Amino acid sequence: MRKPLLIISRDPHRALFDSARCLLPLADIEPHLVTNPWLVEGVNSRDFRHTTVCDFINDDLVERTCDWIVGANGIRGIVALHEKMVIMAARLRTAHGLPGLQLDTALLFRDKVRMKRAVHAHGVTVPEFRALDDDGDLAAVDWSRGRHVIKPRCGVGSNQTHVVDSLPTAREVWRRIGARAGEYEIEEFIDGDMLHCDGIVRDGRVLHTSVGQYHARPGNVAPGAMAGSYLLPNGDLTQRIADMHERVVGALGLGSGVTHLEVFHTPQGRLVFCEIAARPGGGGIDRMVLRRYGVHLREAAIRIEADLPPTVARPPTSAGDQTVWGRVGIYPDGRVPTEFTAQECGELGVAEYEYRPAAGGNHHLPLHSTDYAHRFILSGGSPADFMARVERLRAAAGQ
Amino acid sequence: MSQPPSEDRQLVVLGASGQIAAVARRLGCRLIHVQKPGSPLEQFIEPGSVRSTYYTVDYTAESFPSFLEQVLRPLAPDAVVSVREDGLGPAALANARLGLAGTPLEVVETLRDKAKMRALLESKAPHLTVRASVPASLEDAVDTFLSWGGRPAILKPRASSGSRGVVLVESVADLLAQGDPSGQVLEEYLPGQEYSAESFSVGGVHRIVALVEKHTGPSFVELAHVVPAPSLDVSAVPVIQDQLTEFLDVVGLVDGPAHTEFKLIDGGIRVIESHNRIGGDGIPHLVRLVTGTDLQRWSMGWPLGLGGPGPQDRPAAAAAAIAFATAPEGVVQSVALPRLEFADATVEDVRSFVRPGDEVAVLTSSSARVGSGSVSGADPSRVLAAARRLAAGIDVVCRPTGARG
Repeated sequence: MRKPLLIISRDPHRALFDSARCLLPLADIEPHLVTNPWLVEGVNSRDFRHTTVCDFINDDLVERTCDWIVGANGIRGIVALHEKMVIMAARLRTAHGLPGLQLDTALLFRDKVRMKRAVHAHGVTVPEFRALDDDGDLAAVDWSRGRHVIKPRCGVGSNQTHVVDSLPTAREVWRRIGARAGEYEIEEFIDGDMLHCDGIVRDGRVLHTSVGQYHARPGNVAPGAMAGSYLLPNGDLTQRIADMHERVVGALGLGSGVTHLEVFHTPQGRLVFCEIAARPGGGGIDRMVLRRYGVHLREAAIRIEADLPPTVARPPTSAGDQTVWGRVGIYPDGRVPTEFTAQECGELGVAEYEYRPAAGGNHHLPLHSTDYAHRFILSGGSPADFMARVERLRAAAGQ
Repeated sequence: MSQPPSEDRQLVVLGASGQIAAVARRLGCRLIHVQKPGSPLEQFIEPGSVRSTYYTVDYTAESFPSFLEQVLRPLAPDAVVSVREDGLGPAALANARLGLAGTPLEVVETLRDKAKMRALLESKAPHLTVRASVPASLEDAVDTFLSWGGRPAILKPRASSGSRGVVLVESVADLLAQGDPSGQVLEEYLPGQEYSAESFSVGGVHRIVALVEKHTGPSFVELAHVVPAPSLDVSAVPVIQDQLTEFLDVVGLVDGPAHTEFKLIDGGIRVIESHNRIGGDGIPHLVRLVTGTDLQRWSMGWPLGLGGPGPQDRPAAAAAAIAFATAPEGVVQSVALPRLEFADATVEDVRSFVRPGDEVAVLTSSSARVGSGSVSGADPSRVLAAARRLAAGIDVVCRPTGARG
């Protein structure tokens, strides 16, 4: 009998596929899918016989529904790859005694204050930070250290992130936000590059890491702006970041899962922890990692949450291959985006192109950090060559 | 207290077909579809809108009450309906638990359990029923059969529909061949033409919307329906309507649709069976053509005060009929639909229920039929004949199961 598995999806249904191939091991599992009416395109009732399509506006109702599905159908595992569903899934696992990420660990991955406290306690460098519960917390900040960032403790996709340069500005932002205690934090702004490290952890052992450098700092979610990153060739920096990843994962007590770590690399060469999530990185990170390493992060995350061993999608590239794979996203600019043609993509050396005309909602303005109107996966012979191609893309897009 | 506008009200629909889902959508309220596993999602969901939501639940399973409490109650629906036989009980249960308007579970059970219905009629309106028994054993069944003079009898499940499991017993040998009769009801067989009545009740006032003539084949499988019933004498209609009203009062139906099958004996009706739902087999479509009343829409919307007949609902024809095609048992090899025209009838629809590769079962229930043709016109007998010709023209070629294709 196939193992009944609850799939809580907050992504388009195609995110469960790699082209026509379903990433869910349907021969081994019977999916009980919970999704919403905006994401159902492509759901076929032959493979997804147990589907719930409900309004996700009220998390409590969604969780009650999932809780009922788990209890009534003998669910033996929960897959939830979207950041907003990680806590819900963990709470359900803990409540029903299911394997996988448990609530106490998930909260460490979700709450940026608890997260930084935990990793700092394990010797990882973190920015100066504090919980922002009232005006007194703003006054207690050492403003001589320069700019600071006010952001939600459990935020997603750089939403509601504010960079402030003084106490009066911070007070004005804090007043405008009108948040309650426990919802926000403030931390010092770290100058330098931002990198990400995407890992696969199984039974406490790191099976894979890949390190990428953002070519535009995340958080600059401006209309028409470009975003993305490229994978760094293996070297000293990638090793240092992989080591930090291992320490962070250990500090947070992750048994098994796919991770997305973000790190600052200062002009002085210091590595400073930014944050980590217990899910695959978004915005095409999985695609460039697949191209470079043959590792399918989303599939690995699904298999781990289904309590199955992760697999390599295709043989990894040879150690001598120095091809730099990366991704570029272009945010909507307030107009209906024009699709790139296959010829244009070919001329620009694009390996994969995703056109998202609905990005930005009704006003075609970016809603979050991966709300791209166009997303490209491309490669270069070196980081410099890759960036030259990015510039060609920028020119072609009229940026 | 005033009710919210209809577009904000929520209707839970159990086990809808795609067609019923489309009807429900036209009511204008929010819909919560509850479907058994494997239903085709696209018929129930409007992508990008939460006006229709969808839950996969086996509403006949023991876990359904917990679904009601944990999932449906917090959604605060305004009513729960079903037009499927297996959804009537769960809908009544849901309404009772959630404190919503609907046909009480006791009434649903009385209609669904043929033995219970016969016992109630025997005590309150014996002139509307036939002798019936729930045999405890084969021996008991034989004794009962012989005590009725050994005349033909019907053995059928206490709760079923679609002619499933209905057997004509003409001798003790027939009865013995059926084996253990547990869970079945034995009742006198009445010869003669069978009819059905499509009714709708509002506040205990029963409106008989249409009287339909039914034609059956082997194993009592329904092979045609025609409205109005050509074999009914107009003078008999008032008595039929009075007795149907009496029947609906006796079983306690106050609101909603009913589909009641009966025969005429000595100028009065004898109830064969009844359900608190609209008839199947495309009967609502025939009724709408002939009376203008959309029973599907009314059946879905009545608990919310929606979907009732309006001044714009006019008859489109004086008569309408549907007939069903059959095919020998086996695997379908090819399907061809006829292109027929009739001087005295309009073709409404002709369709096949099967595709090449499907299996056709032996004709012991409605689900073994392979297609249908429906027509409308001025004369009931002529439209019935036309519908039969249409159905006969549906060419489904089967090879025996196990034979090479």
